[in-house]
Amino acid sequence: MKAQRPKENRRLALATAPLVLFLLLFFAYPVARLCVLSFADPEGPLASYARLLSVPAYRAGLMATFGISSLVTILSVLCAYPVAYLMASVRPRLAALLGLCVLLPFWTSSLVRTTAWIILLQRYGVINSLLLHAGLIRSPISFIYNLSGVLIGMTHVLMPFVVLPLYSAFRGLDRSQLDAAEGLGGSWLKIIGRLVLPLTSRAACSGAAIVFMSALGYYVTPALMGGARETMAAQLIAFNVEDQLDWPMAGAFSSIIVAASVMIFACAQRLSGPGGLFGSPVKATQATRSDVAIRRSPLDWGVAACGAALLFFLILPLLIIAPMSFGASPFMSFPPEHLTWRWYHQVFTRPQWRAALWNSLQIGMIAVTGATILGSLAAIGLDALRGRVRTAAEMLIIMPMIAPAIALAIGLYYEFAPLHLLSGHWGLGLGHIVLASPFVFIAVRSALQRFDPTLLDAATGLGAGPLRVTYRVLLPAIAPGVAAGAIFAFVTSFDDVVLALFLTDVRSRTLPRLIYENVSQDINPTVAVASTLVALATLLVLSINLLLTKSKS
Amino acid sequence: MNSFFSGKPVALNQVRKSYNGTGILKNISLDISAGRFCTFLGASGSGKSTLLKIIAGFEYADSGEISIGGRNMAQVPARRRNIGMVFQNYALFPNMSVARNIAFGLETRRVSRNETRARVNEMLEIIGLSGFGDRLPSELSGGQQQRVALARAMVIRPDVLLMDEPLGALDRVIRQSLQTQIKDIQRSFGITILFVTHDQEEALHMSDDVVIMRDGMIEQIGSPQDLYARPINRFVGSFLGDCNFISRNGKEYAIRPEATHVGDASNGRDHILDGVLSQIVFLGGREKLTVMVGDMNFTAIRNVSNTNEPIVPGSPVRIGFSLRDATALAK
Repeated sequence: MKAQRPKENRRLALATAPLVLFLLLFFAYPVARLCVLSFADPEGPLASYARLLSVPAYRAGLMATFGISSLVTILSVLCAYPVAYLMASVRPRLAALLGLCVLLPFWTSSLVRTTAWIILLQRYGVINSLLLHAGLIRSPISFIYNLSGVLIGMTHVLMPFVVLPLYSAFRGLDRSQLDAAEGLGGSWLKIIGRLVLPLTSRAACSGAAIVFMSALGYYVTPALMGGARETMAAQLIAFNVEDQLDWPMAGAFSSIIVAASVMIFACAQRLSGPGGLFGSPVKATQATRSDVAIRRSPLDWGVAACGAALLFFLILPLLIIAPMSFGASPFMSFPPEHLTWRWYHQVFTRPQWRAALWNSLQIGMIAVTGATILGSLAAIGLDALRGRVRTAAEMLIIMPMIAPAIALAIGLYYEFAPLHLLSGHWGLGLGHIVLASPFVFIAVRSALQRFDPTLLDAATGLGAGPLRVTYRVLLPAIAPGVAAGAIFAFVTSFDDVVLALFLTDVRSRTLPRLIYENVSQDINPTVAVASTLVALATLLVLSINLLLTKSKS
Repeated sequence: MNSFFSGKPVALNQVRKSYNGTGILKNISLDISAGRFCTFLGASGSGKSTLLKIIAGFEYADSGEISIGGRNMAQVPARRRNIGMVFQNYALFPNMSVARNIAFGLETRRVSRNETRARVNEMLEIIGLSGFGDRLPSELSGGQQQRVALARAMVIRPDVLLMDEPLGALDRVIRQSLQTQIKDIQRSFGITILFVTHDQEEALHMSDDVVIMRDGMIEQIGSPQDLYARPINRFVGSFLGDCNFISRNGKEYAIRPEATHVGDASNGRDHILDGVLSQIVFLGGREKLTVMVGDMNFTAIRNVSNTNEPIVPGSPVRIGFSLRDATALAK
């Protein structure tokens, strides 16, 4: 009779197997193969790494990758502090509104945001037009196609990763501690140095780690907003695959950024303690708070004003993209002279846009179905695993969030090309399942952590078999987590450019890929329309999620 | 109320359980007659909750036998044991209404819809929550939720009802009123209840039998009156209320404060102790006195009356008792 429980457990543990096998096949194997390829240079096993250091363009690219990533990380942390402080020090209602300014851009495609920045910052774009009109400058400033363009674009995309954990840390700060410190005669400088920084540094560090890891493999923003000197590793990987056909070189670059990401992740994971780096992504919006800070010092006001300005910086691209899509001028001049539906009409009637939209939706469905099933099963089965096996499975499942997408993209390209998987929807669909299943896994895990396991005993004690326990008790409890996971999966698939660039062709290309191709050649109003549509779709899907969670609680 | 079902006896024979080499239950043997209210009383870690889980079938013993109504449970999984279980945190299904929660065990037993409705309504009436059937558990107070949990466990007419610290999360007033309700229901239906608690007062109020547990072993079994008046050892004596221990003629005795006499009332007792009052606590009709006798604290109780000579801490006090009111402890 002793054997009954463990047997049940072993059966439950099998639920993790499908996702683990899937990721071994379509994530670990292709990425590992790139690493092997990097040592397969015809001139010798380490020749590709030698060339990486000896060819000036590659050496510069490597320097730029780590340099820009560091700069973006520092900027993100510096900018995140005032924003998080402002959000944490206002009434809950206003905080929720300000939170939207962070979350909306956070969940909007980075391609859409980059496009919007280009519209804003280009030579005769919105900002330059305004400054010229106001007479503040004589000739347009070049904001983009240089370092400032890359920094603005990447900081904008990555900063929310620091804002969210920091906000949660600030909410956790006990206001009375600060009051006590002030009552004891501490100056604001001392309070910040002795209390605020030490208590929030852990959150800032874990946010910074995510930013740095993501920045290392970044492709879209530097490619579209940077100049030649800002060429980063991901672009060099693409260049070696597409133009040079130098796979060992591409493998070497990939191995370096993958290794760097994994190392940073391991360190950050250890630093951030139980729950890990991605432990509770939703916690920030849940805490309630009764006391509201009273602004007392000029410094306090200054920081809050900074925070407000930075929030405006975050939301600005989303505010500008929709109006610009209605502008009549094909050169996107600002302010638009008159408004028109013409570009919308073009997007919906031109076969290439319609086909791309249709492709995106179909691939999104593949990704949602696959990731939701595999991710939910794995999350349920994880509880039956123990010790090292559990840690290894968890690491493998989270890894696609950490590893640079470019490495996955070319790894899968190398794996799929001989299988002729690049012309239909399945190649990209499988890739998107890899990208999206960690989101489902995390969402369902966090639902399971809130689930009271004695409910299972209660149901069993009342005579329910495993099947009934699952569909009457377990599934209803984790359904909101599964739904949230499915939504994240769709958004992930619908926003992806990098995988789409390598795993689709002219016929199967998705909406983001078509936008990317248009932006990189010649930016025109149809791009603004398509971007607006992508942003709207994201907004729609996320508000469904919000409504679902609202009605539940 | 009609007695529509009756509890069954429970027998445990040499039940053992250990986790990672640590013994949680060490050779537990016990017979509980049908229709008794039996409480397992012990500190946390004494193994009482594990024992309950093993009886329910949520955990498995390493060795030993469990039988309910004379039937060996070794090969019977939890869901076929016909046991009702009430958990400390209620464990109501949050997505189901009160009525559907109560009906859950009938649903698994394929009871017809009409009968289910009738039995659920009957239970709602018994627990005093008629008209609450359509509410969600989250819309009820803690005490109401626990009553629903009780109804859900009872509606299946279980052979035995297991309750794992069911009142632990409730506040004092609600706890006391539920104690009375549970006891009334148990008596009128003749249910066998195994009840786990660490609250000695609760155990004394409700139980027919109390099983005192320590470190995975049974220290003593008996009625509340028995255990209070005749503790078998120091542990049981001091676990239930205040108790004084004295050595006489090479034997150790336990004597309750109620059996002692203070001041003039001590005249004529066969044992007289002189000490100094260190503390006096007013309990309403009575006073509890802590007296230093030599290097030992002795607790005594006296009734409050006008004729009492007033005493303050520091003043000398004489205490008397008779050895026949004390209990000799096992060595």
